[in-house]
Amino acid sequence: MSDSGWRLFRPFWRPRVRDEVDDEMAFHFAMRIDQFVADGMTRADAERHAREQFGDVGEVRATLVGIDTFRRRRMDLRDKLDAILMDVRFAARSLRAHWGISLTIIGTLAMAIGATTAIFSVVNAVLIRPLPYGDAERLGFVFLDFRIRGVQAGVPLGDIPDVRSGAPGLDIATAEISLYQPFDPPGVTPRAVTSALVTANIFDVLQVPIVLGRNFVADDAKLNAPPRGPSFDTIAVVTPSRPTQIGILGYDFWQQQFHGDSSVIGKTIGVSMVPIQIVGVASPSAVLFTKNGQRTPDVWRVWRTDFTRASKLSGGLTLIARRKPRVSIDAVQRQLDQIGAGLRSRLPLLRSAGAYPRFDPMQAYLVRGVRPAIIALMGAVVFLLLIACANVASLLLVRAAQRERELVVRSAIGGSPWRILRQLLVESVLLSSIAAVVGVTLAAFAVPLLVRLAPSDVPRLTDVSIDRTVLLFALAIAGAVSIVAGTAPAIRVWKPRIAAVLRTSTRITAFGAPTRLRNTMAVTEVALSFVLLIGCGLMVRTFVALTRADLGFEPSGVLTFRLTNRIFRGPADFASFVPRIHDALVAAPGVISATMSMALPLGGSNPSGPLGTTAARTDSTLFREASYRYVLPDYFETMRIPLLAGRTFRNEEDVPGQRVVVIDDETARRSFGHESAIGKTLVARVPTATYQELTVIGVVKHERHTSLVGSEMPAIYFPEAVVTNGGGAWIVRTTGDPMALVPSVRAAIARVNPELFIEEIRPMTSYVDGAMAPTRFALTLIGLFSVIAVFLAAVGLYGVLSSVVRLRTAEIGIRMAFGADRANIFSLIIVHGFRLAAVGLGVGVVLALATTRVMTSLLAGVQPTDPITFATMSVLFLCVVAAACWVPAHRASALDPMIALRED
Amino acid sequence: MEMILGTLDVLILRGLTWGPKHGYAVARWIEESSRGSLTVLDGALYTSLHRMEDRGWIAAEWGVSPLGRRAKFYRLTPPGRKQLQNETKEWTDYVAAIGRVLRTTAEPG
Repeated sequence: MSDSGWRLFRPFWRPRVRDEVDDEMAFHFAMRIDQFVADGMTRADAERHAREQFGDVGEVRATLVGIDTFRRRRMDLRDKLDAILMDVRFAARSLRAHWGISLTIIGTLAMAIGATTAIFSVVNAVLIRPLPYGDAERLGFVFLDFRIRGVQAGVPLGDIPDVRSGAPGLDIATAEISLYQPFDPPGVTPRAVTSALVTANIFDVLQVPIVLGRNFVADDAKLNAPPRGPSFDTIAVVTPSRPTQIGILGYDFWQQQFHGDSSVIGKTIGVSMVPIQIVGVASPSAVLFTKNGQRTPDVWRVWRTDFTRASKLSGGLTLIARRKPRVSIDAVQRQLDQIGAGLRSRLPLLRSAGAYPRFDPMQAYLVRGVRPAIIALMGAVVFLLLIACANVASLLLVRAAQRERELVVRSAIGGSPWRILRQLLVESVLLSSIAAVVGVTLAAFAVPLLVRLAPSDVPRLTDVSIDRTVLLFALAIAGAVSIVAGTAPAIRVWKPRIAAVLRTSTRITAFGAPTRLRNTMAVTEVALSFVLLIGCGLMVRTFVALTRADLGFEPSGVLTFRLTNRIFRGPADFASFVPRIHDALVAAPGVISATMSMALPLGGSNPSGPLGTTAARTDSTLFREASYRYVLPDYFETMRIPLLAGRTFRNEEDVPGQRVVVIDDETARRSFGHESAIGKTLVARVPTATYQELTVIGVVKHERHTSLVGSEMPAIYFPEAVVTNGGGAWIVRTTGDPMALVPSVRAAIARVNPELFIEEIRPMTSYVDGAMAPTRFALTLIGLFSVIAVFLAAVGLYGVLSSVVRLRTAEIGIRMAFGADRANIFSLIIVHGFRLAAVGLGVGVVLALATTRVMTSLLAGVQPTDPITFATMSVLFLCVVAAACWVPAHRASALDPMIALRED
Repeated sequence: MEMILGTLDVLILRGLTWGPKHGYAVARWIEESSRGSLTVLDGALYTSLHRMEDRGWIAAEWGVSPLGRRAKFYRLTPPGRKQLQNETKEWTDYVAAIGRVLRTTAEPG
């Protein structure tokens, strides 16, 4: 047995330190006593004298045991360290000796660990990690599903009491976010804040703690102001004296604006000139999620309203609802179904629209848009991980084959199997450790890159960190692969067929079975990477479709911005505000034209409402949902939307009550078929709560407003943007770079009112870019993964063919000797490679047909089974295969027959 | 005569130069070679032996004494031999220096 074997058992048989010391002292005393007795002492005297001669027996014994124990421990430790160090040094030497293969393994593993960790960290942050509320799984949103019109809307304020009383399983709160509110505490620089108008129970429903002061109480909402709907038609011209509201500050806002001063409690601040008395500070986790992203309100203020007196027809609010303990989602939905039935029977409008209240778990609802993309990426990265593992296993088997004889010889000359196994283990661990360090570093760089690349509508991407569980998982996988594949050669040593191996004449022999294994691996890699390549091809086609999409408007040369909500000094001030801004912008140098719209195309918000022909007056089920677009008269000219028939708005039409509308070609086609729409009547519900008849004066080309391709709602344009408070988006056209216009726009606005804040100043093209972001994101990642995958597959094929060439060197020599020319030999190897690739490709096509369906929601203008993509990618892949086969085939055909024959 | 502190080690090393000895034999050698004029507590001797083993100057191995008993034998290691040379030189230099001073007859100044 070798040294290391002995070391394993030594602790069991070697004597304890204490016994050795006792033995040594016993011997000494025996000798001393004998000596003294020989000198003529009595035995008792001799014993006493020996003890005196020794000193303090107990103390010396303890000292000796101490010294020896310490020494033994130190030596054991040194032995172990020496052994490990030696193994590591040996392993490092062996890895260096095959540096090409080692580097490839490390690179492949590191890439797999890095990519998997990065992607899964995003998956975890977005899909898995619970929302930052207490017991967040119980939270949800309640909507009205308008089934006939195919839209979801909030619950009208007047119906909220019905929902509350009819759904006892839910605690219901509401929160309405207002961006860019002017904020003016005395002595502080004015700035714009985000405020949330909430019901008093919001923090109880969300389960967000208050860190300072007190939470809202029901009395804070005591009514002393008339109820106000969130839709823009009820904008109040505010009077200077408004009743004080009760407010709670957001944590970050409190830190930034008040430097965390606790004396802020009890003070009064002003938001949009509403005095707000601060009673508390919420925890940093006090955020709100909307379909447009995550918002952190700076000020939470209690809404003083009596929902029982609010309109049942007004615009609605999405309700934030918490399921009570032991109430299932199904039970909640049953309660809501009953409420829905009641509402529909009482309100014909809701009946004809097919309105059904619905509870959606909050997290699932928030991620529903990005979920398919993330699932697809997750699938892609798992494929990549599998390919990398197959590749590494394959490479390790090559190494195993190369050193099989070394191991067998070592075993034959007495190397213990334990020792050889340990050596292989240390090598594998060393390989995967280096790969792990590199991989984690890669992931650390990749995560921020991913976050920057991701479309802005991916929720909760703000704080993605490398997830520890994911990291451990990736490390475990990589470690397992390299350890299993790396120690496989030790089987040879355990099953001693030493003589057989030493006797055989070919270079690689006993690993005949692994050759088959490696063929399988290569086929797997080809198949998996082909699936990724198909995914990439489909994304490329989508991307091309998006870049070629007809927007219906001309985004270049257009600058857009918003103005903060503003308080008006009276009706005259209010009425003249938008025209004054408009005139100032048009007069600014460099401006060709300027206009305003409540919502920007591709800007994220898309107000809509029912629209029908006169027939819908008698049968309200004929109403369909249309995009409501409130614009200033020169909107079409500024956006360069082609006019197809009739005329656009005249300047004098930008006052309320004109009852004229412009529609897009989609609306015209759906409402009137092939007849001319001009002069016809449409019925819509704007801006009042009741339906009214509108006359069509013009038809324009459909303008893309939610996405670049695919079907979307038809649009109807109203000239009433002028009645808004200027809170819409301003649109300015110039020649050349729109951002160059920023200074003159700022100056123009400042001339109208120096207190106005300009927000979100961006070129129109950035909204178009934003609409392409999800596709660009998915394309970049899937593209990157598929390139790596194809490369790995090519390396795998190359590896298999290289060893085939080595294996068949003698055979090739014989073939040449019998007259085969170089072309024959070349095609021999090429055919082998293409046979493997063809099998892989076949499997890949089937796999791709089965899996690309998950990408459907990411695709536009192309089917997941698009034959052109499949054909193109197959050809591309075969080119890669040819390249991978070329080198080994060429090497085989270039062999010198004489040398080949002599080979082993 | 009491031992001067630190000189026990060098005596033991010296005692081991003729080959491996057990602790008792080392003690006897010191007694005999100093003709009984040096008194060393046996406990101190063993402590010194174990310390020097820990330092690597001597190595220990169990063997059988001439009388047939199991005993722990110590032998010099190469570092121990080196240590002995250094200590011996230091000691003789020291003794010589002290001697020179003590033998001086001339009045200083």
